[in-house]
Amino acid sequence: MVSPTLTRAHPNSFTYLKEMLFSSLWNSVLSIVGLGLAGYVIWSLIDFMVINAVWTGKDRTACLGKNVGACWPFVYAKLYQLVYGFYPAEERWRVNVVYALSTLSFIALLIPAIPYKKYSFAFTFAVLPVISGMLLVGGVFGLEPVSTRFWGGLLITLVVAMTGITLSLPIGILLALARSSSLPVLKTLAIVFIEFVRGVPLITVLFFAVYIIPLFFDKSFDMDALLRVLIGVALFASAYMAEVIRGGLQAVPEGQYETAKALGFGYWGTMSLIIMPQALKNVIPGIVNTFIGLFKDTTLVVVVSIFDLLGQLSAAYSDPKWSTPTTEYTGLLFVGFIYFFFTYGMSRYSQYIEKRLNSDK
Amino acid sequence: MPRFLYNQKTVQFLLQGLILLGLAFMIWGVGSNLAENIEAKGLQFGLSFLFEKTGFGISQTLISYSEESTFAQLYLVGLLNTLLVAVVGIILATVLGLVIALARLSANPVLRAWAHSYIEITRNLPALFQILFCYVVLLNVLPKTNLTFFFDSVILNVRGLYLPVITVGYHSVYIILTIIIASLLTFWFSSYLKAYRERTGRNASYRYVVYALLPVAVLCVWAFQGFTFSFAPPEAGRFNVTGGLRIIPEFIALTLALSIYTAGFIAEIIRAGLSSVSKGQTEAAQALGFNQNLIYRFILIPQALRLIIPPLTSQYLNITKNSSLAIAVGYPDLTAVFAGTALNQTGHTIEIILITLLTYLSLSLITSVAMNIYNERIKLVGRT
Amino acid sequence: MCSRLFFFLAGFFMTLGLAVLPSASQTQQATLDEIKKRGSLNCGVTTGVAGFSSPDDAGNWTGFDVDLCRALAAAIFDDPTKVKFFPLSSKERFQALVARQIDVLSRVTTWTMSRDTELGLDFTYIHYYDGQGFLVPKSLGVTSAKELDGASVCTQTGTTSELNMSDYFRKNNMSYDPVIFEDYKASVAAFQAGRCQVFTNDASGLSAVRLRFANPDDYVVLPEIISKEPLGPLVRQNDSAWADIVRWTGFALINAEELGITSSNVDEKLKSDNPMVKRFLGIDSTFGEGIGLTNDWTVRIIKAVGNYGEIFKRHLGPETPLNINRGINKLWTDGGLQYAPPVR
Repeated sequence: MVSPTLTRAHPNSFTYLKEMLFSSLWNSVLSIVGLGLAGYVIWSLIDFMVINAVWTGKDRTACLGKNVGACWPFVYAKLYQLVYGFYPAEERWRVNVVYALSTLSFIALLIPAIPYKKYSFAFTFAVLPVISGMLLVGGVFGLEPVSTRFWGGLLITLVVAMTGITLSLPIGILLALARSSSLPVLKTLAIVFIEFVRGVPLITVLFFAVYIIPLFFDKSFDMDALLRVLIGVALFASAYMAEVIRGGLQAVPEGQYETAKALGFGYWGTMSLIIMPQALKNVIPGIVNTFIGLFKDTTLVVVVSIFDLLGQLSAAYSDPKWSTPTTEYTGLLFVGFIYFFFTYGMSRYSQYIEKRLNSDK
Repeated sequence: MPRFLYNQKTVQFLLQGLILLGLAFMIWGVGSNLAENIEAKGLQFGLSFLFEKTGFGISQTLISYSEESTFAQLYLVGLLNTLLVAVVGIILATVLGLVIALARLSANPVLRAWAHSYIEITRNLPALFQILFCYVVLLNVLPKTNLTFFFDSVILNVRGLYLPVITVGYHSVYIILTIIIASLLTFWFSSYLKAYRERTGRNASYRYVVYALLPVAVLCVWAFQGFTFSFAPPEAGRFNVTGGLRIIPEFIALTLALSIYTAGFIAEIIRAGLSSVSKGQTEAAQALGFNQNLIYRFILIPQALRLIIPPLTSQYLNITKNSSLAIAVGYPDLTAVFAGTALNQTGHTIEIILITLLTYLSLSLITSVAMNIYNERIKLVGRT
Repeated sequence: MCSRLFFFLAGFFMTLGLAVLPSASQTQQATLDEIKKRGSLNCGVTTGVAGFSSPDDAGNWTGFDVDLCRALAAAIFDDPTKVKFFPLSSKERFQALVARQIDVLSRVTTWTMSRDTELGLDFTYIHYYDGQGFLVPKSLGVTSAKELDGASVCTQTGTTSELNMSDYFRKNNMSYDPVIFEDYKASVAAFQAGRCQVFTNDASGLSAVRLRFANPDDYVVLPEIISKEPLGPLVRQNDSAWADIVRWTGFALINAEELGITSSNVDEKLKSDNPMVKRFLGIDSTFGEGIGLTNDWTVRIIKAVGNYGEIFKRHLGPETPLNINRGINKLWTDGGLQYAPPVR
């Protein structure tokens, strides 16, 4: 094997290519087949999405015919459903405000060059959820209440993911602290909870949340279906988060605890000012990976009749008005791009941060 | 404050007691509500429903099952279906993951780019999305009318892939059992031979006997059954193909999608493991005259495995847990038939969900324990 | 040292404990008063079954089940648009009613003994007599369900259809290959893709499914009806005053048809000398006020949605794409089963 770093310094790019791609017969075959296949796949995608695609139309008739590619008018017709679910049209501005606020606060939080991180952190994790909740649910400040039954599509995906993310971090920290504590009762409770949740699939946790949690309460007390799912998702994500954070805690050298003690710090002082900042910094990639997993897992809520982006899509493409051979593929492609945009963005960001942290060291 | 509160031990003791008290209080509240709610539903809490007849059919059963069977049998059917997806998925994902990891590490930039795109795409799309995608593609691509291969012995249509059943002897079970026992014996003997070689530096003279064990044993058992052999191809019936071994499209879609999804993660784990072995090791081996194969076999893989095994275990567990997504494509796994259909038909919510949770938990714990034992073993090997 | 964490956790569990404490259920406001105060009726419907309840492109709900809710709104507010529709899956429908999210569940729900007695709900009357049937592609060349031995059948879990189907096949000594989905739409999609050759559901639902296909004429509903599926609206148990309103609104639709009162002739009928008509339209009776409405409540209903026959014709009848025969849903005077107790 030739190490790529060595050859990258090669003076002539032509000889470099030749050496990389055609060093042996076997290698040449692989290169040619690989390139050919790549060309074919990319060409087919462009062909499907652009060249043969249908761009305008009122119903399925527009997308019938020979060699028809993507049926974009279908996506356009269902766009509002995919983004807002059945949220009343005249109230959609509230969802838009929430989308805009979240985008802004995340930009402020995530781009290192923007100062006042303490405030943007507090805003994102404490103020934003409250404002969003009030705006979306309504019933305060003269806002018309909108039952969560009418929520759907991207709105549900983002609400479930954001709730999971905002709740799993603090609960995960507490669980990790409890699990690394020296006190048997606390430690056992934490271990039992974490290992139990990590040992079962999310679907069964959702079933538990939807069918069993209501039985814990008096029957006159009705818990919103979405709220039950949110509780399930938050508990599930917390258990995974706790393990990531515990890994970070273990990586903090013992000397740090001892020094803090020697300087007269109490438990909370030591943890919040000395240990946690180091532990969390160490495991930022792990935390982001948990977030990515959580974001992908939001698709599972459809099993308990909550229609997220993917669920709303399968409802949309079963509409006979748009039943064509390419409707399903068009919808899946569109939704796939949205998921990819979010998850790929998050993973690139985590790599970027990791690099930054490594260069700090 | 009274003096005893300054004693740290006492305070800790008291507070833990307080937490337990709080917990007990909560459990009491939950319990009494539960009891009341169950009573209001008019259901008898208990497991006796497991011995009632189900009254509905299942599309894929590994053990005999009919509408007359009980819910306990239904549970077994679901569990076996889950395990089938998990086992096949794990094998497929590992093979695929290994291939992609090697492609990712190859010197050829085209291969590397392919492997990289594969990993980025499959890891960044939700598993459920990939399962639905596979299922939609399968239902669209598979022919509605029968497509036959190999002189009508294999039939493919949108309702499944039908393979011929080959029975060796009176019943294949005997041959399969013989193969399993003989393989175990061969494995045991060859590790003994290896130990002998390491102890004495010589190969045992009778070593070829060991390798002959498996074929001889199988032949003997077959001969005992008079070398009988039967071949039962599927037959096209009025609506459906009858006979033969049927693989339903839901199984194919689910297993394939889970393997494709997990292979991306496994590839990254294997790559990280292999690249963690320092370059000096490879160079030293090359200097000693090891060729590429030997380097992989004796230098890279044994060292990389120690890093690969723990995260690989959690990926295997993920496949098992993700097999519960079967419910989206109508594959009858444990969650779909037990926590889905059985729950709807009997209304025994608490019992059924608890059993399902405990089943998955046990599967996870058993896998973790087994993998931990294996991990311990390769650790020891690494030290000597 | 760690004390604050402990106090926090102890407090946390205590609060949780308090939250789940069994609390005495407080007395609820009467349902009708609640609706009047709210200004609209909350009505539970399907997530989309053509003819019974489905949203059009603008999000307006129409259908046979929907019109019952519109009739109720007309009776209460004299305005059939004062209804909020809650689309519910078959699994969550009952819980939504128990939890007071909706006032009435008008969602193709079969009246069975267990549902009536065990769910804390009451059925009010039979809005539509249905039964389970089979839908097959014409290309299959089948004319009777008795010929379906060995076929793949699609249906969804959580319904009575699954058990009825299995009973029917066993009773007739036939085998079948069940393909069961969690989601109604998924099973329809699988049927369309040819994954199964037969789709089973309530006969009315089958007609609706057939409509979804690009060419409905390629499919046929088999003549066999294998079960009794009386569909009707539900209210909460022990809510007799509200149950009376729902029940008699339904009966008013049927009685109006029997008396020949339609949305177009109701104004003329107000001048009628027929004592039955006069009593029904509240000209010389006070039944409306008796149940907390106005005396002209039936006039409001008929003006808003018409009588039972008109509603059936508008959403299900031969002139609609569903093309369902009235069959046993004819009035008892025409040899059907629809029979409403008299207004007197």
